[in-house]
Amino acid sequence: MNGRRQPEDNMEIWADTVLRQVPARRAPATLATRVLGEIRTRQVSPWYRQPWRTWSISLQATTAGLTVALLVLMVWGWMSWDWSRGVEFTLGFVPHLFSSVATTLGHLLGALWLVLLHVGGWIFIGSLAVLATAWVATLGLGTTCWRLATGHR
Amino acid sequence: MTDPNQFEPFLLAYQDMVFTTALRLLGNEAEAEDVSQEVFLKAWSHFPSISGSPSAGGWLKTVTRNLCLNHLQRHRARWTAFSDLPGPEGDPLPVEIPIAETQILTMLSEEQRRIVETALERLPDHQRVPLVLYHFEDLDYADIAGELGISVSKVKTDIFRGREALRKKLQPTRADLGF
Repeated sequence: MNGRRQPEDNMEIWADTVLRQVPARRAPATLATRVLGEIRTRQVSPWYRQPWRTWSISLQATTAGLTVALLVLMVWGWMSWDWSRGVEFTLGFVPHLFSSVATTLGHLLGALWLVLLHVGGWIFIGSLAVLATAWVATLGLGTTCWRLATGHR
Repeated sequence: MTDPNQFEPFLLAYQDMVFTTALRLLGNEAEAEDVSQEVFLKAWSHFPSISGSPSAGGWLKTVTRNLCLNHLQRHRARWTAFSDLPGPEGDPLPVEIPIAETQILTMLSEEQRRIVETALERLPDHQRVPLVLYHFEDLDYADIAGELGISVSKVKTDIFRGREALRKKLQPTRADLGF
C-alpha cells in the first residue's frame, strides 16, 4: 500500500496484505525470443515499412518538410481558387481524349453546383445532417448487431 | 536504429515485471505474453530515450497497463456504455463479515500464495482489474474510474465484490490461513 492512501477498513488491509504476498511471475522463455525475433524481422524490412520515428533524421526532415509544403499548397490553392467559376472550369483541364465524358460530368457537376447555390444554405446543411445521422445510425446498428451476434457487451 | 544486442539486457531485466503486471490485469498467460511483446516492441522504438533513464520501469508499467486496458476494452468490451448497469450479480452488496485486527496481518505459505494467485486470475475481469489497479498499481478510486471510464461508486462496488469473492475462494483454507 502506498503512503498517500489510508486504508478504509480491515478488509482493505487484509486484501492488501494477502495480495502483496503473491510473488511476481517469471516471464515465459519464449517472450524474449519472440520480441528479439520480431525486432530482427523489422530491422531487415524496408525503411518505409518501419515506424517513422525510427527513420534517419534526414528522411524525417525531408518527409516532414514535404508534408508541410503540401499542406501550405493545399491551403494556398483553397484560398486562391475562384469558386464563382464553378466546377465545369476544373474539368476543362482534362485531356481531349476524355473530353466528352469530362464535358458530361462537368455539366452534371455544374448543374449540381447551381442547385446547391440556389437551394439555400439551410437545406444544404440539413441534407448533410441527415446523411451524417444516417451514417451514424448505420454504424450504431451494425455495432449493436455485431455485439448481439458475438455475445460481446 | 537500436542494436538488438543492446536491447536484450534491458528486455531480460524487465520482462518478469512486465509479464506479471500484464498477467494480473488480463488473467490469461497467452494474452499477457502477447501484450508483453507489444510493450517491448514499443520500448524498442523508444529505446534511445528510455535506456538508462531511472523512470524506465515506470514507463514500462504505464505502457503495460494502458495496453492491457486497451486489450480488454477491445477484445472483451467490459467497460462499455452498459458497464454502470447492474450485471448478473447486480443484487445488493453482500454483508461484510468483519475481520479482526489480529487476522489481517497474515503471512501466507507458498501453497497459500499459489491459491491466492489462482483465485485472483479466476476473478471476472470487472472485479479483478479494479482490484489489481488498486492494490498492485496503487491507483486511487478516481484514477481507476477514469482509466476504466466508469463511475467511482462502480469502482468501489467492484473492488468490494472482488475482495469478497477472493475471500470466498480462499474459504477452504481459511483455517490454515488463520482467519
